[in-house]
Amino acid sequence: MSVPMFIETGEAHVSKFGEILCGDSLSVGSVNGGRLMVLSDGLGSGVKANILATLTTTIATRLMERGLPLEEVVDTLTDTLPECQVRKIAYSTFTLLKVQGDGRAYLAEFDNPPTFFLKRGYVSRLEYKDRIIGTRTIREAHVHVGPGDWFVTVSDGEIHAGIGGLLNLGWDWEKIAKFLETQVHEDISAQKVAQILVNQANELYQDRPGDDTTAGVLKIRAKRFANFMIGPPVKPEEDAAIAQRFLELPGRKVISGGSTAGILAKILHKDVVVDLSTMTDKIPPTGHLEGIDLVTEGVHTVNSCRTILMNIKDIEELSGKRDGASRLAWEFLHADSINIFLGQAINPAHLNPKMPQEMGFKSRSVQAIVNLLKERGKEVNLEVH
Amino acid sequence: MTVITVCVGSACHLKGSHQIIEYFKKAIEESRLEKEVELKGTFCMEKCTDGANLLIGEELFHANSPEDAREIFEREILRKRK
Ligand code: FES
Repeated sequence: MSVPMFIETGEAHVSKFGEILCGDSLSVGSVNGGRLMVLSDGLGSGVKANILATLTTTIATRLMERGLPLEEVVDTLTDTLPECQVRKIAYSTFTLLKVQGDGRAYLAEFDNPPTFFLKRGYVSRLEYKDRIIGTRTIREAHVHVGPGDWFVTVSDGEIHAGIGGLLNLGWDWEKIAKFLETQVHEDISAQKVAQILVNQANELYQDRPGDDTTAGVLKIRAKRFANFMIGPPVKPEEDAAIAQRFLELPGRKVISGGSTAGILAKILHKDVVVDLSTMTDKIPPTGHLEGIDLVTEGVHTVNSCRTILMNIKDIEELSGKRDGASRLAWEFLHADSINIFLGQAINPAHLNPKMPQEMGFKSRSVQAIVNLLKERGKEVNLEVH
Repeated sequence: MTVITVCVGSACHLKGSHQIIEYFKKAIEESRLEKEVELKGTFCMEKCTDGANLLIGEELFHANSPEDAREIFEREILRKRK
């Protein structure tokens, strides 16, 4: 059985020293089940280059998203991109990369450095074919990809980094290939790799980049699933069936709330053990239950998790945090696809007028979390029981 | 070995189970009872309205403040040892 694939993207830029706008443009788009990446380097630098490059990536991405065959997109770009009257060269370059959900990938390059393709941690050569359209030569490659493969595409600012300064001939393609092999591994994100490449180039330029520098990264990996159950179902007779279905889903299992933990403990014939060392003054401790990846308390943990998701920029901010809310947020951010089982049974004790009102806000927080995750591009499926 | 189990469920958390646990930790340490008294947590014991709940062995107690917890500790642990 083939594992569902996920394509993660990352990008980073640095402008030529003294320029505010970057003359490179990178655009990322989606086609059903797949991803697109378009990189363009506009002639020169500054505003004019930026406009040309943005025009190129925008046109290409739109056409590809509308489903125009890539060959035709390439033709359109090649036919319509203006040529500099003085220098007789095209105003902008492009790299088009399309990876489909079934693993078929297509690459077309015009005047950009060859894209790095990594398989099992090593840069491997792509088999290019040249195609001549008018006066221009486009390099094309078709390849089949799977989890563990990477595409890294860069503008020539990356290749020339350090030229005439720290490095005689610049960083050059082969050296970057070697460098990538030392950086790329299963647990690093696409974004991180893009950032590392651009930072390294910037260092070689001694913080005064001689050209606009861009890196775009596609990481192909197995899709990550998480399943989250909070609150017991309204009809107690459904407890076992719903919990059973939850347990059978592929991916990580996370549960919140004492009663929910109780239902699962019963089915799994195991005990919930509370780990007091994870407690903070705001967030109750987490628990252990064999067969479940994370057990937390309900309403307070979920409320704090919601606050984290509202503010966090990078999942790495959570590394080393052991409290329930941070770990819950990590599970959500780490996954690509999340199933949420929200049970709406009301704990009779919580109806007591002596109970603070916020005890009743659980469903609202879960709904807010669903929206926050969708805004971050996650697939979220909410079931209410 | 005596086990003190403090509820850390949502309602008891609001009623101060965190401070109560901190108190017990300190009290056990100060009276050098680490080998005789163990502190544990549990999620909701379904008696939420009664206040921050805790068990000593099987017996249920309520504490609404570290002050209450101290009283319970002195009465149920320290005095009973003698
Ligand atoms: S939360 Fe402690 S008894 Fe319900």
